[in-house]
Amino acid sequence: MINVENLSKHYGAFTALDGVSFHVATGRVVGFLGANGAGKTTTLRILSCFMPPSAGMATVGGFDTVRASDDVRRLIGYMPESVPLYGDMRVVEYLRFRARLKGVASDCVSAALERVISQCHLQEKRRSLIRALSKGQRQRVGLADALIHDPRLLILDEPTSGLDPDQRVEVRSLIAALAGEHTVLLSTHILPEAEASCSDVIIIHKGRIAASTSIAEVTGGEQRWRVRVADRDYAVTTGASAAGTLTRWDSAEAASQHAAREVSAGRVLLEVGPEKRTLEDLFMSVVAERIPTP
Amino acid sequence: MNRLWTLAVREWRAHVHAPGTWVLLGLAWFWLAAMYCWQVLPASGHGDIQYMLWQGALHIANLQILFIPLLTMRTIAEERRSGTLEMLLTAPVRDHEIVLAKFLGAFGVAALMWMLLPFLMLLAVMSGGDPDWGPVASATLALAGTAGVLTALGVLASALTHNQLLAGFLGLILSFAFMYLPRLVPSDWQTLQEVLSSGDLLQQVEESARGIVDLTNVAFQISMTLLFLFFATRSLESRKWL
Ligand SMILES: Nc1ncnc2c1ncn2[C@@H]1O[C@H](COP(=O)(O)OP(=O)(O)OP(=O)(O)O)[C@@H](O)[C@H]1O
Ligand SMILES: [Mg+2]
Repeated sequence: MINVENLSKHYGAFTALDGVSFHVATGRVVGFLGANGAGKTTTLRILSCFMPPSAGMATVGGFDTVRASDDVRRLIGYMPESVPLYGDMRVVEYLRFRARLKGVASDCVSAALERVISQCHLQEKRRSLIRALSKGQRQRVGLADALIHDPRLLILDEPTSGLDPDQRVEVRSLIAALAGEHTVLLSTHILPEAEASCSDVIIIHKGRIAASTSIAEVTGGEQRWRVRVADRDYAVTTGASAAGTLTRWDSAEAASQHAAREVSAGRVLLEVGPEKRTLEDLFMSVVAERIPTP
Repeated sequence: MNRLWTLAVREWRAHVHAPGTWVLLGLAWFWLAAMYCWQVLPASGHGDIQYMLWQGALHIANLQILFIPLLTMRTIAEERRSGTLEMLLTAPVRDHEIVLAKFLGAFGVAALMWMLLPFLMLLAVMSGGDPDWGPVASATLALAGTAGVLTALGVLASALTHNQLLAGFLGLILSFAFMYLPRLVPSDWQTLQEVLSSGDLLQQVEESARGIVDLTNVAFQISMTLLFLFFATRSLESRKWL
């Protein structure tokens, strides 16, 4: 669905993207991760045809983002990071305007409108002026806008930032429901969320792709073992809330030996067991130059 | 075509819903009415319809120089500042459609200025005059042409910056320069004056108020409008080369 080759983007003398290449297959939900300033928004803006790359090329659905940008834009539902909207319009009025602009046939506009309004829970706010909406409500109008022409590809720049936990779950399940027929590329900072809702992740670091893999591969990799030992002043009666000291071991063997040593030294063992590798581990190993391991 | 219409209607409605538009229009109308009642009518001896038409057209043309840049200043500059340009440009819309829609929306509001001329003439009828409607029509048309040029120039100014006040200021300067430059050239620079006077919009308005319909004037107005809109489109596209 998306094919990016050697994409570079310079802002003046500053290089925001430096030879980025990746591939997104149809029907996948791909999380685009990276620290602040890594180049996520820049990449998504190039894919959505807002600006052309300085070098390299990107194709969406087989269309070049520069030479066939009209075709690309028809395929994409894009939600920018800051969700800019016309404050002087009402929600339905705005969505109808966007539907027409995106070429939704006039006899389908009303149906499309009702669909996205219920998908994004905007029923109560449909008549409100957009400038009177809260940040999260505005976010949902932006999402509704991205969905209104039922695009095959959704490009969402931090779709859940500013949403309450409730709505986050909603958006996540909405994205899950869209997967399969639709392809989704979303940027986020929230790693557990990416782990929960994405099938693949691409990690970008300082304008370069640092990792591109599936979630299954990340979490299914070689296992580690964790041992948590209570601190010296731990009293059993206070329950399991004590933090203790956590250590990680590469084999069950080493972990159990460590646990045995601690027990024989008279400490209380809080936890021994296998540790699932998380996306956070991968992200940290790639992005943070090196984190101190305990 | 459909998209252009959708965009232009949204633009026009944004102007109509903005209180600023009505404040500006109100001031312009008030000024025009005051000038008409206290200056033009007495000076015409309450009977010289020709003079009324000529002065009315000139007053409206001059008011347009002030009104139109202030009307158009936010069109593109504000979209740039607030980021809504990103929404607009990532929809399947061409740059020239956006510029043309901005132009049409503002031109639709500017019509509330130049359409006043026939109404002023109706006032003359009510006070017992019997105007010749041919010159009224040609003068109105010339005012519309001037409004077109000024609107395009204002949209261009707005496309050049993301600060709408700066766009307004720039638009005012450009509009004044464009309208008055032909009259400010010293008379001993004859060739330059001759060249510029062929593009003297105020003079074209005056001629048309005398009933002269010159197609080269119309062609000049239309081509200037298109030229400025072309530059505005280029300026919008320039984001791609930054
Ligand atoms: N218009 C611009 N002009 C100059 N530099 C820019 C511009 N936009 C972005 N940058 C720079 O490019 C780099 C990448 O920015 P980008 O917005 O793509 O980051 P991001 O990954 O989306 O970050 P965040 O997580 O904070 O949204 C940053 O260092 C930023 O300062
Ligand atoms: Mg960003």
